[in-house]
Amino acid sequence: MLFPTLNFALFFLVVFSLTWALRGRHTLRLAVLTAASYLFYGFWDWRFCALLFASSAGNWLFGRLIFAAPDQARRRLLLAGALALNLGVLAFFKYFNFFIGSMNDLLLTLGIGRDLPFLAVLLPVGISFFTFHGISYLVDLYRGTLDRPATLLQMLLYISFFPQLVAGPIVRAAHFLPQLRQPVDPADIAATRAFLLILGGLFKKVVVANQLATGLVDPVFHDPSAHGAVDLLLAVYGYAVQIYCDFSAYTDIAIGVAALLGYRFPQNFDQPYRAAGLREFWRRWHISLSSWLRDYLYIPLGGNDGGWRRTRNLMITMLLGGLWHGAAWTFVLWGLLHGLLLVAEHHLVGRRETAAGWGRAAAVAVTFHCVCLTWVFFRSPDLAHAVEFLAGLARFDRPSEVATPMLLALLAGGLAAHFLPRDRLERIEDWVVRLPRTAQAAALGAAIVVIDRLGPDGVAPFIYFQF
Amino acid sequence: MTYLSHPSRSFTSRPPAEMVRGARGMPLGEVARTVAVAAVVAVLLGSRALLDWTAALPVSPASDALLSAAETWHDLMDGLGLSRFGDTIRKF
Repeated sequence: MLFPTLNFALFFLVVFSLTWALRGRHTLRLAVLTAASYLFYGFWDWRFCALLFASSAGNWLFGRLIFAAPDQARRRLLLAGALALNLGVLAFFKYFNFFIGSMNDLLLTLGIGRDLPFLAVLLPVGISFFTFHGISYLVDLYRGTLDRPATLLQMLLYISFFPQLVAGPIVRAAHFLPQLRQPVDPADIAATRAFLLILGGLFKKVVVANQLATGLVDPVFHDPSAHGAVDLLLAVYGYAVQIYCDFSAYTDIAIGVAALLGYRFPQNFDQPYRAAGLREFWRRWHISLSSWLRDYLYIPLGGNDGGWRRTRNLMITMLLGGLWHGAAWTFVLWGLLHGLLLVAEHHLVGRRETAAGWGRAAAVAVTFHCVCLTWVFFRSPDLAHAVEFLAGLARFDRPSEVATPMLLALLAGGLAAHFLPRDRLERIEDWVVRLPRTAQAAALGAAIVVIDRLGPDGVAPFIYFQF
Repeated sequence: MTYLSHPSRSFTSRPPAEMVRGARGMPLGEVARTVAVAAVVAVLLGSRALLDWTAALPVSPASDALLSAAETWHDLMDGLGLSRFGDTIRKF
């Protein structure tokens, strides 16, 4: 069930009505939200509901054991076991065939070729996200960031809560579980902001991302050898805008939907292409993942301690971050490139302040093009395709075959939006709330129809569903 | 085991930035009214989308009945000129 569909709208209207009708009965409300979340997940493949339940219940059990353990050594052992289990499940479902394939290639290269058997493993939607939620719960409990374990119901809902279940944002246990402990306040719903986020998200996904995907990015990336440098360049810029609009749309809608139900999610994007450096980019792009990797991987590895150790820690973090996105060498290379660029930036820039004025503008342009270079690997189906794409950037003899005024406008608009004022949402909210309430509601309904009609036929899945 | 024994730092306890922080609150009754009015407007102006949605449902007696109702509704909105709103935007 995708967000920009009538199916989801109807599902949400029922859940919204039911859960607010139960606002005086806190536990029952949580149970209904949990049931709705499993129903939402079951729309993809009901068989994976069992995996989702097992992951939640297993982590809940380990959480209780960690909390009750009498000494630090036992707590540590339990945490290590639980982490191994979580990562083992993720590795099996997501990486088993990738490792087998890579091992087969390696053995063939070494001349001792053996066909190791592949398994028909289906990738459960959102497994990377709910595994990270489970790890967050265990580590937060172990570190004491979370003061007490969740009840089973709270844990089931924390892991499965439908707005964030399949593509984030990654919500920390220490941030979300306290919200589940107390009843929601029906007198103070951040509704106007939520509606704006949902509308903005729908526009970014249905109009910008889908149009750019079907009209520009997909045809060019499908066969880069058939296009010249202009189209290839437009396609990579187009993909930069498409993936931003696609993913940030999902999280904006998720944040809006959660807010309408009375819950708060963390911000996940902050105009990433206005970053004047890779470090700043990662503070603005997929913030919930980059901060998760920082807090649960980079810092425990030693973080910024010393020169070569920082380099090692950065490379490990970015390589694993790349692999987290998908079981393919293109994602590994994407992570490797980001790691190398971050290391280079640490060495070249150090702790110096980013320049202002034209210096900053140049830094923004350089950063954006570095990120675009890495997107070529991220988007390409394999390394050969990516190399072919990059080689084509030297073919200046062919005119553009895909550029249309509308696609160029969407591309320019998608980039220009990164340079709007930071408080744009607050300003729009201030303006909207001055309108009569009925006019606000009518405008909301009309805007949904406008967005639906402006998009291409059909609804493409969100890019991050595959991760 | 260095990973696990490394002391935690302040990062994980720092609350994350939120896009709804500082937003204006609205009471539930107002939210429900807004959702209801928005839904009515969307149903009035989006009869074509309703028709497309019902036409894409798996074939069953229930979906046949829904499709028939959606067609009637769309014809009615067409007669009133309301479906032109969506059609004009589509042409754009």
